[in-house]
Amino acid sequence: MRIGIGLPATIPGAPASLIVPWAQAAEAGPFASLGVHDRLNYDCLEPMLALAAAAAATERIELACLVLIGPLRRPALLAKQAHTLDRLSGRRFTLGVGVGPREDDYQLAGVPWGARGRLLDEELAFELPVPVAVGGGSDQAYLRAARAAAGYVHGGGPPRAFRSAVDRVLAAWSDLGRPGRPRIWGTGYFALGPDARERGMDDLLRYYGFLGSLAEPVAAGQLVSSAEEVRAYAEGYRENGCDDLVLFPTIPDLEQLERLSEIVSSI
Amino acid sequence: MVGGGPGGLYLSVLLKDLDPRHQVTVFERNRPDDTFGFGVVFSDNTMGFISAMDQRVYPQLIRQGVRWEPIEVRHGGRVVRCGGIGFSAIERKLLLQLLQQHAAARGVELRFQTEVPALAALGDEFDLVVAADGVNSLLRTELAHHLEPEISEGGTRFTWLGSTHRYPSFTFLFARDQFGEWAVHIYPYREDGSTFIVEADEATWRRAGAESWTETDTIAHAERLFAADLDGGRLLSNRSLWLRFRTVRCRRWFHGNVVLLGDAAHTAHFSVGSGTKMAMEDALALARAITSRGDVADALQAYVSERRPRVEHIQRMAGLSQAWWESFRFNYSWPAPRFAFHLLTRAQMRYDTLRDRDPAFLEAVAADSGVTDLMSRVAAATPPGSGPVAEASEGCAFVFSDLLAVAPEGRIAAADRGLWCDEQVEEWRQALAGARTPVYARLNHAGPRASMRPRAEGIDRPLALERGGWERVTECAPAIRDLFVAAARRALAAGFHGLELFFAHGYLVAAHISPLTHAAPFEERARFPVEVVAAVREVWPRERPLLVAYSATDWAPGGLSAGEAVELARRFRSAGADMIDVLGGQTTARSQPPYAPCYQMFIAGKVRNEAGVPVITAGGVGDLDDVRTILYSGRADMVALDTVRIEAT
Repeated sequence: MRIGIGLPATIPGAPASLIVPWAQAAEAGPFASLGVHDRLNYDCLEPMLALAAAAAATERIELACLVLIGPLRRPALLAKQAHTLDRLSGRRFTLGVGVGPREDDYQLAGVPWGARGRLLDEELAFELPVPVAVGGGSDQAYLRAARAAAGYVHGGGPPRAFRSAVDRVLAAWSDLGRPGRPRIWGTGYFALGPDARERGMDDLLRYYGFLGSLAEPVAAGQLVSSAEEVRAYAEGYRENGCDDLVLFPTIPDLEQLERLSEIVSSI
Repeated sequence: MVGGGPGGLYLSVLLKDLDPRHQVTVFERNRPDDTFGFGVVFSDNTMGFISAMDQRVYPQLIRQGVRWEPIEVRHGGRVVRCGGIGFSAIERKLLLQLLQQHAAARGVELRFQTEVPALAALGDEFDLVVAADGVNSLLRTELAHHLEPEISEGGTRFTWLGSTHRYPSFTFLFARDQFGEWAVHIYPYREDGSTFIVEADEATWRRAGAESWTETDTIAHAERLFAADLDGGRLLSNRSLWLRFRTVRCRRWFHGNVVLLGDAAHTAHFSVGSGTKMAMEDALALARAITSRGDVADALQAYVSERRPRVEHIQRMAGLSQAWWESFRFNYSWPAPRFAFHLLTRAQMRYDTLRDRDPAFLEAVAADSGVTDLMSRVAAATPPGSGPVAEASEGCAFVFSDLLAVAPEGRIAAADRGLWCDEQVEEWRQALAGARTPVYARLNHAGPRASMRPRAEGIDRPLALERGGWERVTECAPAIRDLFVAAARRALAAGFHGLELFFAHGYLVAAHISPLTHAAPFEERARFPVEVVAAVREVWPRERPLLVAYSATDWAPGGLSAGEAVELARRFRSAGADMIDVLGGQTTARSQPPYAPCYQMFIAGKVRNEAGVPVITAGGVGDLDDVRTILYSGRADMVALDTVRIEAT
């Protein structure tokens, strides 16, 4: 299993000037990939543009949207952007797509929430010129991944929940008679150092606020805040079939990346 | 709050706790101590979830009830117990009294024996109107145009009785008389009482003449039938009418400032014990949404977003459970351990989940199953585009080949293998010479799903004519039958050990079978595939197995019915098939299987046990525990592993 790190692009208040040094430090460290999330109605950076900046500042590390809310973009333009990022990065880009969980992103984009599944299907039927992975936790998402993608992106959570989703993706993959195996991406969040748990939860409770009473358990289930927790989370994902685990920061500070580098180097 | 049941009262209490400034009025038609039903049940999981949210009221309520762990099944004179599945229960009347006290103590205005004012008046007087008025909700009916409720009735009849005996645990009774099969669901809820629900399928119930029974007649019948299992208790009635279960689903849960809660919004068959649980979880979510959001519309949207996926999941599980109670008569003569295992695995439970709870029970199930050598019941399949045959199949009973086209135009992708000419016979003869596991040829005509790009690039991506594509065949003409017969002859010449006619997954013959792709009566859709089976049997020797695979469910609304699936399997068998391969889906792009572990075992079991045919099935089978789940529960005779997971297994 490879381990990647998220860009600090979805933390409200994080300076955009952090993106380039973060990407360079990740590339110099033990990380296989740089991931980004996607939110429209939220204080964060647009993921494809953030990755473009990272692409220009790096040479080796893979770049991945985990995931991009596909239906917010029109297929032809999305394909063009993916193609551009693919060329800018020298074929290091993977496009993870999903419908996302928030209706307000769709309202802001002027895209009907009720049409999200159909729009994503149309996008996947379109020629996307890069490796595509599908994210989500529904039967529709598993079917889409098996029908039209080369990989699957899990939204994060305890290894048991990850395992359950992987079982379903592999069931869909087998059902449709796809040869080979899908590339399975796992995700999580990290916060390290003094008051790590508290600071990490602060960020995640804001990020998952739209889930109401579920925000707390959802956030707690995917935040690791010590070396032991990072190792246990990674081991749980590895033994349950994860190919790439990408840990996203919750505190926008380079020392967070350094702390994680140290732990990941020892795994 | 319209309706003073557990959901409405609990929401009132929670609202006051979260913000004492809320003004809450509850309208209830009945008196405070009128109640229907006897006890309500909560699983340990529910308890954990709710008590994480509410440490004040709920745990106190449940301490008043009783808790038990094993499930007991009494069937055919034997008692089978499975431990480790914890539940709590409380008397419904007590639950209501406690909630009424909590509500009154917090200043909730409780108006009993009060007809609800007109909706228009309510909507003007209150910021929010909660319709917690039950399965027959008047408010929902009044707003039906906006909420679009859909109500479906189950295929059994049941009645709620009580027993004066406190059974030691969750208990299921089964009995058979001259009219048919009867079942009882027993939930103990206090030291001297248990809920006692009697259920029978519609035909049995009618044959018994129960239509004209009074409550006294019902009790007399139940006491006679279950005399050995009353354990000294008497049966009691309380408006115990024989009902059909009504499952309520609503397209929308709110309109303006009127929102549905609990049974008014959704119901789920009582055999999963979730009615009150869902109402109380609704109340928790709604209370939080209202308190944390300034705007009513915003809060209601948040409430629905949180609750709908969870409720739909429970309704799916309840649908599976309900189907079990509608058809257990087909398995009635099974030995008790297998019957009990079939019952316990009717929705979410699998072999491994139960083994962790009660290993001794699972040992009894295994010993009783008649399965001695597990691997002799396991098959592997070769995914399209790989192969010629899966290498990791050693130890399996046999391995299916890749889909072999009976004609060049019946290939899915250009590089697919086939058996349409004699050169291919020679290639296969050589490939099979080295095979250490018997290989069964899967004969297919891709029909409308032919001329696609390689499956490595994705499924159903058309190959354009100018890039080497070809015209697709969509009609099942007699010449197609002849293609299958000729390919079967070649399979024999090549030395395949078995043969499967692949009529599943939306390919040519599957598209002929499904009403979604062929608008014709069942007889017309069934004739051609059955003819092909008979014609192939003529040329395929008796001593080599002939299998027929079909999509017994299209996994899409309006597809092949379960009754048609059972009948078709019967006809395949009569036409000469040795075993039926029960698969599903891929009929159209809208087919959506539920990709849970062993997800096709329910339809497989239905086909096997109702048509009385040997069955192999597949789908969500990742390891040997999944195989055990399916074989030990008598839902199939053989199982094919998921192709991606063969090596891991």
